[in-house]
Amino acid sequence: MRAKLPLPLSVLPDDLPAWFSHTGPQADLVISTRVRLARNLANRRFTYHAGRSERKQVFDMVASVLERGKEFGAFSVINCASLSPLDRQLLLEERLISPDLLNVEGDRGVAIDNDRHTSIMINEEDHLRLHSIDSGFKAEEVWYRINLLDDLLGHHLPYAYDIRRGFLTSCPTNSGTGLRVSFLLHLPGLALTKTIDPVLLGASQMGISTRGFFGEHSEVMGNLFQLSNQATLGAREEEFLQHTRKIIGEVTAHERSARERILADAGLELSDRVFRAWGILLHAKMLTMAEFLNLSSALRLGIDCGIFSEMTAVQLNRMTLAVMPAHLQRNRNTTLSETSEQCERADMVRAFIGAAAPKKAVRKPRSALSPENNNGRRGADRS
Amino acid sequence: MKLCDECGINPANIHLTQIMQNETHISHLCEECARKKGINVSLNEQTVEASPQKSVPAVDKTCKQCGCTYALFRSKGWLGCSNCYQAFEKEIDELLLQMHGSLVHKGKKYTARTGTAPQALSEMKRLRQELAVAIKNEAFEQAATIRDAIQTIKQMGVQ
Repeated sequence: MRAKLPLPLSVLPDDLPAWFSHTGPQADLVISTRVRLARNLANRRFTYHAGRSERKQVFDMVASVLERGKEFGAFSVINCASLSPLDRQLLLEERLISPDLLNVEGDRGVAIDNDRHTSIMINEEDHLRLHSIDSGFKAEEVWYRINLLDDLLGHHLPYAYDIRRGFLTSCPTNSGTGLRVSFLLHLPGLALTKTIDPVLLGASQMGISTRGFFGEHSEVMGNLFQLSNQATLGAREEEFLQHTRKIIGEVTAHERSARERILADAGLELSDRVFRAWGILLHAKMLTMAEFLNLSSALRLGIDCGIFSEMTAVQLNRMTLAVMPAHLQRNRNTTLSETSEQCERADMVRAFIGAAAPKKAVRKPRSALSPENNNGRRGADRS
Repeated sequence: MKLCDECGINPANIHLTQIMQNETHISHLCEECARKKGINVSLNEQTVEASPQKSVPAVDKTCKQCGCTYALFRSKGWLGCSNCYQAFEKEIDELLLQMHGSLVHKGKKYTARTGTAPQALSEMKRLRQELAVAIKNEAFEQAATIRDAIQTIKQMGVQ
């Protein structure tokens, strides 16, 4: 049996989460593929209508099945009520929980598989939200993994199911298969050529929704778009996957041709934009998360197009995760005000740049902020 | 209820999210103004609040199992329990059709390991009754759907 995740979360494994590892097909455009299944337990109130004791019963039932069943491998069950707000935010930034689970009302939480590919949110909008996530364009592989877990869990837990409407969910938008496959895409080419609106509108007319980095109700920043299927009833899971995959394939093809057009017609302007972004990141004293993501989008595009080689995409991903608010606070081991968070982010960026490009004439950040002195916590690039 | 951003008169049934140059714009429109803007109303994302007038029953319904009312579901967006699907069947089916363009689950079949037989048997009984009513009313399309559902249960070994 594999070892479980070490707890508390402030010592979450040092490596990048699988979804941010920049591997797999089309990883330059498709940051990650995620598949989720919404499930509820039969004969129980759905989470938002359940009292504290009912939530506890559901939580305990799921936790006991996962902990007892050897076939599930090594899941760590985490009750969000026992976590600090910072640790909950860390899980959100690692995309292991949704923004909804930041609010603690009774027993709610997440079971995380050791390799962080798979997680099960407990008592979110539905009793169970099974998630599987990986880097790149890998719909089938990710679906296979979550489908298997669903079969195993459904064997131990009685799901709410109706032969005509399929899996019954708290909100009818998820009824039927309960399946949502979402792709996190980086689409700077479409944004720069001002063709993003018609492309996304076209996708929406083909039943594809667009959301921000952290899913529902989250803002779109840094040209990162999360595209997913809208309907969940009326077709087989594989058909929904295939349809969504096809549309996403078309979107990525548009993005590739936009990039080619930019390189052919405005290569110098693109290069200028990328190195200006680099310049700001190199010298800024304060950075908001939105500004960081917008600037790093230019670097990512530069790396993908082969015009920027000061950093690799993996180093950029490490830096992106390390400067997210909760990760930043964990690395600094202190609560940060809005202003100091922005200052720390700029410092952290310079520390990363220093580590990524040591031969360049980059001023070293303050010694306390250098990655070598962060007591072994994540934040430094050790690749 | 929120009024249409465009005309300010009709209730806003269409909630449109547009992303332009990295900025998200959300507009709340009535169906008429949405059509004027060339938005294909039936294909764009509709929230649970879409077209509420059509599906709010004159007398509010209550789910006997959990006590959730249909009005509460419409105001919050979440059903109380799985039985609500039966309690508000007509209205939910209308919503499902709007959201998914279908009323028939074609995905994974599920049978719980414990209590499968009683669950499937009661479902079979219910479907047979519905089939008889559908045939009597000459609703042959509906009858065909029910017959398919009965076949599926039979394939699971329940007679």
